Amino acid sequence: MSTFKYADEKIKSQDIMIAVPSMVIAVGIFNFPATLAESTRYADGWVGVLIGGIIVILFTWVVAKLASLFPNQSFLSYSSSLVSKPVASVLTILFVLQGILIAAFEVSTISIVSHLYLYERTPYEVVAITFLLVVVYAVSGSRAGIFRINVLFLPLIFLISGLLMLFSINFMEIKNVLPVFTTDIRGYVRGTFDSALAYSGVGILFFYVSLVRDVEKVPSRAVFGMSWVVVLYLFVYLTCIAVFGQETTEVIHFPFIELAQSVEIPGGFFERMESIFFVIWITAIFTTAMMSFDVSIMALQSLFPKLNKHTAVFILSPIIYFIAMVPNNYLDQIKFGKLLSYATWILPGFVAILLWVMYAVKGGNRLEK
Amino acid sequence: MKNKCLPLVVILSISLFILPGCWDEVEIEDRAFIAAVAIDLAEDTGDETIIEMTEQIVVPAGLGTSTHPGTGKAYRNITRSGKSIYEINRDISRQESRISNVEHLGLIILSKEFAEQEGMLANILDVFIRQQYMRRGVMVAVTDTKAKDLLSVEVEHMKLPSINIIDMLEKDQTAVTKEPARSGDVQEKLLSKRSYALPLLTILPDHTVEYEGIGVMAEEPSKLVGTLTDGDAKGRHFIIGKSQRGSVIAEVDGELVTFDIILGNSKYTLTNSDKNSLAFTVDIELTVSIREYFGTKNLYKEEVKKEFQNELEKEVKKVTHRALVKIKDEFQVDVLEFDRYLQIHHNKLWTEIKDNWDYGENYFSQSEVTINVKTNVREPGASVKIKAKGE
Repeated sequence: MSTFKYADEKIKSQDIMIAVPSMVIAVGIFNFPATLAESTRYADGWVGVLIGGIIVILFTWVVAKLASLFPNQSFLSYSSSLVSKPVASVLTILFVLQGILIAAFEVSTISIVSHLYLYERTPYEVVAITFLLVVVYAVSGSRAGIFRINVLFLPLIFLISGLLMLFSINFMEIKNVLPVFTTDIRGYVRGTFDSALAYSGVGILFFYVSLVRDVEKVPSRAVFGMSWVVVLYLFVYLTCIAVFGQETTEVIHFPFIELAQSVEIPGGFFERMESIFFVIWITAIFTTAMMSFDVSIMALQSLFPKLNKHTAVFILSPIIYFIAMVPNNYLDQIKFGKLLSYATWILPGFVAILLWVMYAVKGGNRLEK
Repeated sequence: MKNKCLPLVVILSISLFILPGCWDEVEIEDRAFIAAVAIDLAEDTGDETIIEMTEQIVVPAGLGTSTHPGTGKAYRNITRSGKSIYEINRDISRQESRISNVEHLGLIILSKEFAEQEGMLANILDVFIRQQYMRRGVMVAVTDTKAKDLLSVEVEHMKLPSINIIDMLEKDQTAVTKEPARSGDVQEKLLSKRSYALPLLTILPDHTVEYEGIGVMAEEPSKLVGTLTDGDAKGRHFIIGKSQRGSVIAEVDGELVTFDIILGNSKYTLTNSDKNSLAFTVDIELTVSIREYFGTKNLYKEEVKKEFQNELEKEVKKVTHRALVKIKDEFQVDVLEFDRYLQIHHNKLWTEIKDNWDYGENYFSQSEVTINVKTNVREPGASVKIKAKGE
């Protein structure tokens, strides 16, 4: 099999702008309205989405800025210069693990969700392996190709979500939204916390920024990309609450999917919007799985420069498949997701703080080339 | 060349096994689409509640296409009894050569006897919400006859009885009694522990289905507590102030006048916020036109217009008062959306009393409601009168 070769493996800062939302929008959007509705009253959860969003935008900036201080350097090389080689290697291994776990989680979620809503009798394992094989195909090719796929899919994701919300205007009820600001302060704090967890995946910036040609624009572009996610989440949350009401949103496992099911578009063919919806969301999950897999390969290759890319793919994919098959019921799956969303905050958060502190201690500019 | 071909052949032959291996493939001809479900109480109920469920299954051959309508019946009704809806559905599928498919289910009809059983609606609704293939937009209605019978009332212009009923529930010609309820809405009400209204259907002697009024569903105990028909249902809608279209008949000097409502709304105000003696004022405003008048007064005169308005106000007051007495004092169940008003405008008070609103302490039935009506005749019709005074 021969793969198409792009001129070089370099990308532009616009590609980062697209990659960030493609990475962040995945499974979380299906169920975050439910967890958020638990802690806030009526539609007040939007405050949480917004504050959580602002926090994550700041965090994105911090990570992107740090990575862009070291243009064309891999994570391993610039973190080695800051925190010594052994520590940097440990951190890199942790990122490899995290990438594997995220990819495994996406694979297992896709098999569970599609089993629930689409194929009742097809075994999980078959759905998972089919999906994983496509992911494997995507990551074995050129890295620039991954960014091009994002450019192709992301507009569709926004378009379909927009359409979905537009068509659900009919089902919205004012009494589900009013009154505003009745939640107590503890509810807002929990809501902020819950929704911040739904925005995970900033960690890829540590690695992908090294591929960017016009690196000085990266922080602002990454922040801009992240703000799309915040806006999308805000609208998704408000739509779910306005259509279902807070009490019902709380008990529906995947409110956003249920929303797609309740929307009926007159005219027969498009009446069942969820079929289109699923196609699009599987691509959203696909881009996330693909990028986290790719980041693990990238991190692994930086540790072992002689490692062939295809060998890395063939080593990692059975591991991903195995981990994806570990959670064997819905409770395990939820636990898996929860732990992972903590992990995707703690690891990049810790690394960002550590590297920034070391950067400040070592006097910054001296290290830059 | 040979070396290159071999792996390709192997891969392609393996794919042959994988490609038809779609586990969930069901051809559209093999699917039995359930269009509606009717739920009754089985005749011989002992101690337990036995459900009798009728499924209306579409027969595509009878339906035909729009240019070539099919001949013969377009549906098949199958009835079975049992304890769980899912189990009955499985039983029914034993009588059906095709695989049942609920994705196009559009209507659930419950008989009044069934809805009067405590908690039963919530129990059976569970399966319609929990099953992921079900949609949240399934219409729910009650009927005071046997629910099963409604599914066999055929009309001339439509092949499927269930589609006819769904269309009837959705359109707003019958505006004043209109109260469509969907399974998702009912779940919302059950979760927030609020009372709600369901459309009430009946079969007229000439074998047609009529939209009769609404059924009042209480929460705690969760069951049907009563029905509102004709004037009472209209009165309720005047108070709530939504979809107030329809007509009112009043008398002016002994002559009948029919008013058609063009615009209408109502406004609630809380005048006493002490929870043991809550008082509300409801201001109803109606803009009407005159459609039918048996008398000969000249409507282009200011005082005549006033007189007409007064009579209309009196009539609306009478109707709303009757509905209010029935709902507030007899049923003691808030289907007038005072709960919604309190939730939005007096949230503090509402959080305090919501668990004793129309059950428990029942602050709702203890409250005082004053109704004010203001009307405005806007269009007298095309002609002032069609006959001269005194013949």
